[in-house]
Amino acid sequence: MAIGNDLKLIEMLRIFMRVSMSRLDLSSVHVFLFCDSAGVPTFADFSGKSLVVKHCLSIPRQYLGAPWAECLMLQTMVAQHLESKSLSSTVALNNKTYHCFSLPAHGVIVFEGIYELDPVIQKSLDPIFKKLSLSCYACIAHESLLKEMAARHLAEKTIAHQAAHDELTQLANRRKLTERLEESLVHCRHYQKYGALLFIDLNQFKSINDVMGHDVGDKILQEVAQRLLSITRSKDTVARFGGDEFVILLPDLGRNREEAELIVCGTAARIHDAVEVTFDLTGVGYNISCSMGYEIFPNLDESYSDIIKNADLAMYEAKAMRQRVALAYHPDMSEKHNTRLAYASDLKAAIKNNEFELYYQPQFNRAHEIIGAEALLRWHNPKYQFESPAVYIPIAEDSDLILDIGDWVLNEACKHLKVLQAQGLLEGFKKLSINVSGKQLTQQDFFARICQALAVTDAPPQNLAIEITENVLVSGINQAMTLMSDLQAIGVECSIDDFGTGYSSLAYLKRFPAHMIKIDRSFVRDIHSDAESRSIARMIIALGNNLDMEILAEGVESREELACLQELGCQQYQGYYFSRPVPFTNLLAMLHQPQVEEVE
Amino acid sequence: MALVIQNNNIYASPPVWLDTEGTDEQLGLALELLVAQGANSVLVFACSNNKHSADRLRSLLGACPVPVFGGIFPGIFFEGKCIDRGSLLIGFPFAVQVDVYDDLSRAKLSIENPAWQDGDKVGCAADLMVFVDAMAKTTEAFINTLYETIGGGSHVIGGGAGSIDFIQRPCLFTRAGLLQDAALVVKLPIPMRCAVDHGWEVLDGPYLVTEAKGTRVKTIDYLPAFQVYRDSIERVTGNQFNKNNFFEISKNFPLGIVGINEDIMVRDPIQRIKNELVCVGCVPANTMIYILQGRRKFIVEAAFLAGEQSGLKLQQLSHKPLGMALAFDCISRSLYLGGDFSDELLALSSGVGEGKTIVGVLSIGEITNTARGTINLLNKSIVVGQL
Repeated sequence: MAIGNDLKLIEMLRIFMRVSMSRLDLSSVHVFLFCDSAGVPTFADFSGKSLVVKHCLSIPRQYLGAPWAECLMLQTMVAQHLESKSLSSTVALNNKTYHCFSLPAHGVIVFEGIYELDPVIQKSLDPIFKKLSLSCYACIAHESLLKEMAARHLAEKTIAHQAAHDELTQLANRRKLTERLEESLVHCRHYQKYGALLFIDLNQFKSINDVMGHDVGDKILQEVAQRLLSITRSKDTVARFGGDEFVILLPDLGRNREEAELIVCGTAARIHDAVEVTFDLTGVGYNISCSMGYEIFPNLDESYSDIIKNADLAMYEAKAMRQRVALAYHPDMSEKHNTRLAYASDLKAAIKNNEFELYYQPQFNRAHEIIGAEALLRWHNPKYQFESPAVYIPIAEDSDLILDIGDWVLNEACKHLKVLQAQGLLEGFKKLSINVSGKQLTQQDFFARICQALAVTDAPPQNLAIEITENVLVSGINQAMTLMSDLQAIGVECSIDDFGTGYSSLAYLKRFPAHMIKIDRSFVRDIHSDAESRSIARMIIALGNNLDMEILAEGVESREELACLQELGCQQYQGYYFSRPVPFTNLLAMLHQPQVEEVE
Repeated sequence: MALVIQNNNIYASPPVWLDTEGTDEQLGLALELLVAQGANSVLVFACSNNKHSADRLRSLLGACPVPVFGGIFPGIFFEGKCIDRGSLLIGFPFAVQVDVYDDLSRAKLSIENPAWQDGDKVGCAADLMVFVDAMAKTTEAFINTLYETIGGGSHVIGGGAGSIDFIQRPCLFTRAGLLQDAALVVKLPIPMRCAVDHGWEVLDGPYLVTEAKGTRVKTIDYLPAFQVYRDSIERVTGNQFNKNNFFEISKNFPLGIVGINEDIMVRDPIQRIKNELVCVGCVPANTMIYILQGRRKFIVEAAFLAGEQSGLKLQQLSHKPLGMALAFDCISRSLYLGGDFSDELLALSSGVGEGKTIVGVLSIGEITNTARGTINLLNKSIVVGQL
């Protein structure tokens, strides 16, 4: 009887069972095999592993509509045969004869027929069943090997996929993008064709992560990925470069540069449209935009990393413009970038060389008495001495130098506060304020640093105030609220700076433990002649009064502005009308005077 | 057209309409009349010489409100007469479930195929009528898969439909029209009992089939199959093969596959291709075969025995029978007996006994279950089912 050479266990058994039925005039054939705890056929190797005998295959599948696999009579017969430990056993039941034969180390095969098999035939089957057992062993080993190979292949595939794809979005990752870009660069150079790389950065994405949590942020990133895939060609590569940065490689844009430029611009427009569609996540809509820069390649000896860097720079410029544009890279951008890098390097040296000094702009009440001062940074460097902080503070922010500078400001201000206290000048002088950047707020130990500065200098906490701009507050609400509460607990108060320029929710404003709102100078300038500014200022003052917060107007430069503010009910002021920022020694001198002269 | 059987009670004896013209119109009219008489399903036996239009039949059969099943065969017989033009329509008082398996030649005939996993098709136990397109290339594989799927315990009767020019045409009746390259499995709601016989005797052998593939026997006793077959027949009977008379001789000397219990299953060698014998039905390698011969007396007696045995089996049941016998008689037996075929029908009638309606077809391959339960495709045999 043929066993066949199929290496699939079930197929091999099926062939053998069919031949057995035909040759031995059987009604049905059933195979029960030893299985492991997972139900997978295995073999008894006397290692003591726990095996159960399970129904494997019946031909035919059923009898009078009842599946043989569930036939209790058959299962009992097999169990009794195994208990008997004999090679074969015969049972006559319901005008049928059942022959059970052991498959050494593998299980039992049952032949059902209407006649009992001749003992000579039964005997002649012994070597066949031994051979069948060997075939079972070979099939099980083969299938196990196949499973292992499949698992390994899957694992390798998974690893290869993971190595080349971003886990969150399943887009190509930086590595794969780099490979594709290198290939494309070679291709374009060889065939004198153009390609392009678009660098995309989502605007204000950090706010969504901070306010709504990373779950929402992740869903938006996934959705952005899908949208970018949907508007690109199959040969393009859409990659997640990191965080909220995406890169699209357009590898084959033909031989005409103008046409290539048109395709890139078209793609950029589609990207803007796609990203700006409201993200509807569980009923809540989120709107975001993106900034984009790109470079068309190849250009001279440019490498793939140059292309990515240049597109990134162009994106950075586009972001700074705050417009809905995709900027093409221009070498000027690199120059500007290099200048910024040099600036950052000089800033770093400035801390080390003690080139910074704190100036203070005094703050006044309605009676023109100094009630506080805001600390402002000045840089004594021959190269930059006329440079406004508005130029170098953003550079410091970008390079994380702001953290070192912030620490320096905090400690220096605390030292000055201690001097004021030592000179008995804190009676009418209520607060010395310092500005805090968004990055400082994200420092886990920022509160501890403030406490440490106060402790080291022994400055009075109740005379220190922290100014946080409305925009920084909005982008880091949770950290800001925690910090403000902690500071309030030790007596340090907080002001909301540049109020009116951000988009803070009134609900949140109510929960901020701030003691003061500072009206942004943009609403103070020409307030006496600008009805719109006046309305906004009136609203802010009313808001402050309702929330029991003090109101201070920044940038007061004229008597008319002051008069208008006084008429609106604002009681505290700061600006050139009263005093420019002055060195600490000058502030001391001013505080020793009982009253300032009104500026004409 | 004539209503040839009609009792007042359809449950006592199903009405049978005989149309000797073999036209669509007559067949459609008979269908309508049977439904009007209360038939809940209709069995149609038609002759391959009829002039049927597949389009016309599609609309006629589609309009029938009850299941229709059956086939087109080389000949049909009724009341001892065999005709090669016309139709027999039998109206049953019960409804039947007709399962259609189409595209047989291209279908993956495996128990693992989803088409064979349909619980409604294969799940319940019932006695079956099976009709297959005899020209489908996988008829025997279908029969084997059917058994592997539904299992033993069912009593099965059926046969291969088609015509003896061996050109494949639509030949199976369903409500969807005439089908080809298909099979019908009809589940009966009442019990049926079957018997089979052939009457062929051992002439020479045994021989061992040493190489075979499907229906082609390549070597016997390690020699070219045709050479062994030819030498045996020429030596024992004196017949002489030439280039043109293979089937003329071979139809009288089929092969017989010997089972372990010495039952013989007949295989009809219908063609010689070079030195290979092509049979109707598979001949597996390593099987023991004999060359068989026919004697008219025993061939005819086989029909009697099949009729008698099926009746005896039915008598063992407690239910009231319908009084009907269905016969699938191999066309090659009719060819072999020639003018004496009426003797076979007489013997069949005698075996079945009086008072029963006998309808039958000349089939191309017969289907029935063996005593051990398996369903087999047979050659040169007569299968009788009584219900």
